Amino acid sequence: MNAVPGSGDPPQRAPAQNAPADRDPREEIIVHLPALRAFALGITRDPVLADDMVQETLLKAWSKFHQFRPGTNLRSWLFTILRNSLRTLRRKRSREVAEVDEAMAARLATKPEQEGALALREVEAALARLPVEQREVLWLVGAMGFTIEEAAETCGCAAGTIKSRASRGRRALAEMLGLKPGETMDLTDRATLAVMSTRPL
Amino acid sequence: MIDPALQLQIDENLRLLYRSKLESELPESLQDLVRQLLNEGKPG
Repeated sequence: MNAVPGSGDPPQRAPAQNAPADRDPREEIIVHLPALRAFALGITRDPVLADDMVQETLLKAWSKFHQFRPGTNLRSWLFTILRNSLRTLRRKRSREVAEVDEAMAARLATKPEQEGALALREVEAALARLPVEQREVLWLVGAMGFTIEEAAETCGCAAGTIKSRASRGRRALAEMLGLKPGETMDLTDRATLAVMSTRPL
Repeated sequence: MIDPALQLQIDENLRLLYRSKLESELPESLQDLVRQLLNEGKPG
């Protein structure tokens, strides 16, 4: 397991691994920035805060890249750094986060705008009501395609814990969104389907 | 275990939500930081 960045280590450049001599292997980090930002946005629901967290993650990963073992899962390592930063922030701001969640929950209590169709913001509002551990797992596994093992590595827990959180989170979401097993309700409206058909995942 | 079809529906909406977050560009501050880091240590 790669070390997660701590404090006090002098920054060192990591040796290039199967890369041109003049290419910095840390450039690979930049490829993951959009996904990191999307995850931070999904968890915090605060664009300014999300951007701050991603910036902090980038700086930590860049300066502590010598702690990353080449050939192992860079995405998981980066998301671990981001997730740890988010957890630290939540501990400091636990009261503020609870107030935001309550406001979001109140908005969800109103009737959905369209009968038979669910807006993305309703899905997001429902996600906001979940315990953060379940919300994180649904983002990683459900939304972003992390494997169970990858998510377990990122969250620092067993694969069984990830499966359990995913299952409970999905059941809770289904209940909040009024979905029932066996229903074939079309959850996506025409505009969303158009987006799906034209954009690769 | 959740109903498999229900799981598919839930995950489909989660993916759509994720895509909607990916659509916005990285903010200028983050782009500036990337440029700064990439230029670190380069001559000139």
